[in-house]
Amino acid sequence: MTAMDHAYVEEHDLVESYLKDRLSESERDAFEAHYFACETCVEQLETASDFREGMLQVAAEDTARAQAGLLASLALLTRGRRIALAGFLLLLVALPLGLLVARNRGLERQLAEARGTRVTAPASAGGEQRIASLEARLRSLEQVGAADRRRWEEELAKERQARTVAGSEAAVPQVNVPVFMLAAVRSEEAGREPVNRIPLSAEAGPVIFNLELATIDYPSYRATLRTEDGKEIWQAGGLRPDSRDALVILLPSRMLRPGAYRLAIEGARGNGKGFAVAAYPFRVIPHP
Amino acid sequence: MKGLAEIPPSDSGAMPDLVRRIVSGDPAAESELVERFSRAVSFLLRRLARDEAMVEDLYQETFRLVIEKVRAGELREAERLPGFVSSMARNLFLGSARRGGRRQRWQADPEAAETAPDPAPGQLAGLLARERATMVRQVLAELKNDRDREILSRYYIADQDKEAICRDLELSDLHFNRVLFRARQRYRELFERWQENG
Repeated sequence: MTAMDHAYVEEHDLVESYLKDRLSESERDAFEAHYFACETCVEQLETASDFREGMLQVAAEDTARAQAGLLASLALLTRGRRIALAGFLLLLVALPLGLLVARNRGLERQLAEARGTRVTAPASAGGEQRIASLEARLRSLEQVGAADRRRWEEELAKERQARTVAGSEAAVPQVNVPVFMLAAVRSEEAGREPVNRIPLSAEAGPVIFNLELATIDYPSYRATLRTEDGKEIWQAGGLRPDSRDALVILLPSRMLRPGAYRLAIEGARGNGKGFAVAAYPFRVIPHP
Repeated sequence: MKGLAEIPPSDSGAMPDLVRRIVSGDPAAESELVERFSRAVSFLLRRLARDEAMVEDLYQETFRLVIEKVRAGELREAERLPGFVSSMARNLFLGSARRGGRRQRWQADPEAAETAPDPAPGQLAGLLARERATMVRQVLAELKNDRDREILSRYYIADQDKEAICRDLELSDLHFNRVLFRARQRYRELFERWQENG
């Protein structure tokens, strides 16, 4: 596509496709050569680009406002109402457990009655079956109840731990936060020791990774952190490099147990497709 | 959309004359070249580079090199001048990005780093962003129905494809194009009015 005119531009909606990075390289070059000689196209590009920026700004403002509103409304609740809200939430959790306990007791009562009947009068075959069935149901309910309770207790413990760690990491200013400049590798050989070594003590707080990108060819980037065996432990999209062409990522150290990791960066086009840009393998080693 | 009759063709016919005048050493032709491509070069560089100081550097460098090469007769097909300028701007940006941009230069020259401008968006950029959002809000408020607002949100914010939006909302291409065109047109009117009043 060398000679491009407005009819072609309009027909193929090139202004929007160009702004969304959805043209092939040759189409993009041809369109650039066209609009460099065409005031109308430049004007359309400026307007469409501005409008797009404005839409994104509106979305960002609305999101920020909604978050602030939610926090503010929680903060504005009186102490009494906060207690009432906590009570309500507790009730939501406790109600199913309470029902389960009540049901258990009902079954136990029925079982006792059935056993009592067996003592006072010779049991019929139907009565034996009923007792066996009730005992089986009771056992299964007890198992379910115990499993549920364990699950809730585990969830609660996890949540408490996460809140404690998050609180200590985020709310308190920290000094000498470990910062690591990770070196990218062009090709990776299986089994090769990662070039980046990250010494981390067990009680380390968050760590900061600085990833320099060689070129900026994509509107946004996606980062994926995987363990040695390929298990994904974190991913984030829509990342934009800072003014020094670097991605700076803060990770809680609890995500990084000693072992080998691979932090992969992909460039993302408007259509959501990812293209491998760089990989930063590293090994976390225990630091006394 | 504009009818084809209203749309001017790309102005490549004037290029050979402009190139001939630059080769013959006409300074007015060099100014004309800068004036003619200034807006497009700025637009392209702002899309590629994020900080304004880098855009400014690359803008100057693009015109310096283009004029130098045209003067030296290195542009063989004069009608390709627009493509030559756009490639020059893009290549300069890529070269700069590969070298690590301004940062590396400052690392090599600490004095330059002290006078380097802050690459963070300035107050003017912040003001522009807020004004832009206000105008977009007005455009959205003036839309006739929620479906048109949904079209714009899906297209610009959720970054969905036109085809997918048309299929989901059972729209024709024509309706989709009309909503986008009218929204941008209205935005342009508001922007021009804001510029006149500002």
